[in-house]
Amino acid sequence: MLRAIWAVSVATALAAVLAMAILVCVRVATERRARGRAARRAELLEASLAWLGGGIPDDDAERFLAADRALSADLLIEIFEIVRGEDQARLAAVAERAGIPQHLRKALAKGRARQRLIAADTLVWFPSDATRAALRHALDDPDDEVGLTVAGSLVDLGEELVLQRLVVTREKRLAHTSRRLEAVMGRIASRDPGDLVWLAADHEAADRVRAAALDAVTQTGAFDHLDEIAALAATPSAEVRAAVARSLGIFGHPGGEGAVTRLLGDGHWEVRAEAAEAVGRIGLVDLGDRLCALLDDESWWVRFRAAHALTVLGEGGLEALKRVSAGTGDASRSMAALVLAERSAA
Amino acid sequence: MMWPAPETVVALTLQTVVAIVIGTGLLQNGLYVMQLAIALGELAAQRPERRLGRLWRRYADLSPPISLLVPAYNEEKTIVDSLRSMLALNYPNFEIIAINDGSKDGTLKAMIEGFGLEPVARGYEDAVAHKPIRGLHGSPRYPKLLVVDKENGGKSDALNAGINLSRAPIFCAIDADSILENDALLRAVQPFIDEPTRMVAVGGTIRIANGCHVEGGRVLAIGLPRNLLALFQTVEYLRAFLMARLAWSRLKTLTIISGAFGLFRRQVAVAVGGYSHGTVGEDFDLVVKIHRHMRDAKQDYAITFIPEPVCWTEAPESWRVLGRQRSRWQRGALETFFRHKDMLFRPRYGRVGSLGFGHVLLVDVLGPPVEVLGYLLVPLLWGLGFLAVEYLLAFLALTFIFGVFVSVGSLILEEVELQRVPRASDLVLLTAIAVVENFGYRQVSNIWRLQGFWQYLRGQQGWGTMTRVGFKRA
Repeated sequence: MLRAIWAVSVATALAAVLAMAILVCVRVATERRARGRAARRAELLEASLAWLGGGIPDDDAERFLAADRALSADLLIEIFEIVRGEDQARLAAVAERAGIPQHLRKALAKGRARQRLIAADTLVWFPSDATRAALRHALDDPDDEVGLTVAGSLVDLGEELVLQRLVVTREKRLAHTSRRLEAVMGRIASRDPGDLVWLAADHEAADRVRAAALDAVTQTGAFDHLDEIAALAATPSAEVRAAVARSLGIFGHPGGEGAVTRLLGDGHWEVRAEAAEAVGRIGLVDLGDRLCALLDDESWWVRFRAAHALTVLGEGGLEALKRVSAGTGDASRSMAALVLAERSAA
Repeated sequence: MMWPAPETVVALTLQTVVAIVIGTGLLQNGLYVMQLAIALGELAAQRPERRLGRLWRRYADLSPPISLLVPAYNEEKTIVDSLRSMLALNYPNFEIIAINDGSKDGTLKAMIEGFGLEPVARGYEDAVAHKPIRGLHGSPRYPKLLVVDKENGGKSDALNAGINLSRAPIFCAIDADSILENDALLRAVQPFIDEPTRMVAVGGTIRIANGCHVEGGRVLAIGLPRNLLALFQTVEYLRAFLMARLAWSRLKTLTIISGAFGLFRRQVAVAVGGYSHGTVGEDFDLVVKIHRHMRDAKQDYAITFIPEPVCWTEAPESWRVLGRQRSRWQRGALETFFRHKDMLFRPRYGRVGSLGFGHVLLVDVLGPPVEVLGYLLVPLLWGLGFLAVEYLLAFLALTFIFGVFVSVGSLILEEVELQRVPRASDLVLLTAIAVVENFGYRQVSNIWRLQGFWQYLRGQQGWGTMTRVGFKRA
């Protein structure tokens, strides 16, 4: 056994050094290939820019792109990020003729996860029936990042998604909510917020999903569903109630007053803090006294948000804050003084 | 009853001790092999996005705000450059809170003059304890920068002040003399995007900046150090981050996130009382406290390490300074281990208590004294004829030869999955270093660690003096 330790150690050490020697040789070869690829890339970039400037005909551009489709697809992503409008449309058309979208659709169907991800991201620039079909087919990709990217691309292409299928299936598998899922919800909300309001009201969905759905609706700024959102102030979930307060504050609509008033007295500090901020955003001057009372809250963040909300309620709010800063309560006095000092320094 | 002869008893005792030495070595090396295998699998499964543009497109809108906490003590020469480069980081929403921890040089003056700062007011919660704050400074020209001037209290104390002042849900602790890559925050925040409720801490990679072309607080070109010690440390850091931390992260038993670059959920750090005072292992201690807190509360959580976000740091180039650093690290490891020793092998702490702390016990607590005992005992006993040559060979294999496999194995990981070593010739040099470091440097490191042991037993505290040379042009 002892001699075996020696033998194994020597053998593994030698094997490692040999493996490293092989990798060095591979590196020398790949460095050469990389230099070649970089040169071809530079050529392709120059040709693309020349074509965009009208310097070379379409046929030549198509030929350049078709010569190395993988490299072209990679480069096009970067170019698409900087060109817009008609140039982008022209470039997409030439790329289409050069077979780039077919290459990407094939990668989406059969490539490794990284290739599928790049394809899912890039195909949005090549809208066509074939692209939409390929993306729909890939919606249930086993890799969550790929699947969510596909969903985002489909939404960007104007496709309807079955929200439940997307959210519930992914969320169950993830066992938690990725912010990527929330990003897709944001894109869905801009087209059809009603679905997301429904999701926010679904008590069987995870709290985080419901809150994310509310945040997504709020970002649209469309307060058509204000009453339905305000009604969620009674939900048992603190996370959803905090999202309700946040939404009502961001909407800034006085129709949210009733729900915000209720949430100012919530048992969870996060909800009270959001509600305090909402008072300031909506401009609910009548709730100034409630904010002053919150300056004695046990939570620093509630006191802080309440003090800030008073500063945006006009002269009345500022006067109230000044009175508290000269008053007797330790916590309220120091918070009022701090926020007034911050305000004057700003 | 016949008692064995005294010389037989002595021989048996010594053989037992040597067997323990060899057994410990076997266990350690077994752990390293396991780490290598797991790290290889983990790296192969990841697919980091190389292009910053694509990274930005995918994550910028999803990224939560971050407060960058930069404790600074006597950093007059480099602080302004460092902060400038941090202000230029590619991240959508962040603030920098630089904490002057009662510096004796002109650190505060350099920041005030460098950025045209004036006194400002900012409310903050006294969530975690720290020494009094003397003043806050800011400028409308640099709205992301807040400078905190406070009484000296040490790194932990300074970071706690930063935690109190921060308003973002996540903070990133970074050393003042370190350089974050431009996309480091965008990469490091991804686990918080993927698991916004579970993720509580993320560690990134620290790499050695010696030999790199550094200008204006940025690494413009990567190079290898010319100094032998710094080269040894380059290989060591690869081993520590690419192999060990990646493997422990995969096993969900990561017990340390480097103090030079780590992201934490502010709420959780506050819940555990922030960074502990009275220890030089504050980074290790914080992560262990978080594990303890989350497990005691039976909350689902995750602490992870990802290799792509990189922070560059200056490595000591003198034996004396490096020795002091390593002794301090050892002291920190022991302080944290014994402070939380009740977690060891306790079922309620799951893998953290068994694998995580078990690893610390083997490698940090028992490893150095046992190995040094072996250096003294094994050759001596063999020379005196008390030990067969097989024992000597096994010991030499475990302490000199097998380490070559582990070190070169880490290089293989780097080359196969990341390829950040600039040239093929650099790979050759690092391979040679990975071999040579096991014949001398490793042994000296163990002596330094024993010094750390001794300091711990004597109750020594403090950091000692780290002599800064500043980043040099390559």
